[in-house]
Amino acid sequence: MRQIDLSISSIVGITAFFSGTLFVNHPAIPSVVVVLLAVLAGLLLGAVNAALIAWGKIPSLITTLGTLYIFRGANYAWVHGRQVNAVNVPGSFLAIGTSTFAGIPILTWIVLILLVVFSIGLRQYRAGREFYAIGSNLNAAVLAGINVSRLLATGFIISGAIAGLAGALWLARFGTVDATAAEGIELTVITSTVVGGVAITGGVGTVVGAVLGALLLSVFSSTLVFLRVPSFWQQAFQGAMLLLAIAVDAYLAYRHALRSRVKWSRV
Amino acid sequence: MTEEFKSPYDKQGWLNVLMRSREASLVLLIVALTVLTTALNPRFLSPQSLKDLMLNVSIIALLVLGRQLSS
Repeated sequence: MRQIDLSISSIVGITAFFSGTLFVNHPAIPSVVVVLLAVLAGLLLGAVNAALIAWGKIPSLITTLGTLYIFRGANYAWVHGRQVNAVNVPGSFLAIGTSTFAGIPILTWIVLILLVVFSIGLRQYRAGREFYAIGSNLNAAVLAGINVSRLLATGFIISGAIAGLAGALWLARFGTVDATAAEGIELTVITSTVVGGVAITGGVGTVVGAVLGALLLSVFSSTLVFLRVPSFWQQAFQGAMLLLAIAVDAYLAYRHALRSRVKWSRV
Repeated sequence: MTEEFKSPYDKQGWLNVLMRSREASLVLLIVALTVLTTALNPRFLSPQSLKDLMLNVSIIALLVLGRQLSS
């Protein structure tokens, strides 16, 4: 859809702290309720983006850059220097990040299941194909009768809901959350998708590719840690990998163009 | 002239095939990095390190999924 959601990091930050305060204020609250409320909170924040983009017709880059700051600013004002500590979070909830099943953390299982469900949905179902259709050719999608505004709005609402879930999982993973939680994570996500072959202009790319991109980046930064490379080099390496991925894409596109020209000249 | 036209760009070397599949080249890079790092520091593949790696990737992967839906 040639769209981008920069505000996810702020949504993760707010919902992580929100989940934490739920446990602080209502120690007996079931974990499932907390997760659902976090998803709902993320969904509502996503709906703000959706309204501005789909009906306000403001480009998503501008909208979500604005809400990135607004949500984070609101978070700072609300948190006001406080912090949620792991002692206030029930052990059963923290177990999502610490316990494993078949050697794989519960948190990872949750994400894996969602990845499988969504990647089948994107590939097999009409709504999923429509997302790709809008990304690859907006005008053709409109002519094909796709309700672009509605689909755009749906995308940003789901994106918000997923960020809300990520917020709850963030709390489960780290236990301690302050106002700075997940700051800057949107750039890691964008880098992962580009490295994973998802065109920033939309219409191309798979969930598997994007996840492998994320995995490569993580393995890479872990490698740098294990090889005792100073941490300030990590970001430089991430940037270099991003440029390398784009260079490979450009090279392949160039070769593809050459090849098709040769074929067409034969006709 | 029925002879198949051969463009120098039509070579189907393993490198070409690999480069065309983004997923395959990513897997290869991940494996290569893992092998290299493990050779230099075997603790890279320790259970705790693998668990940390999985946890680090999971939340990013989830957000990548959201990115996919709004992209």
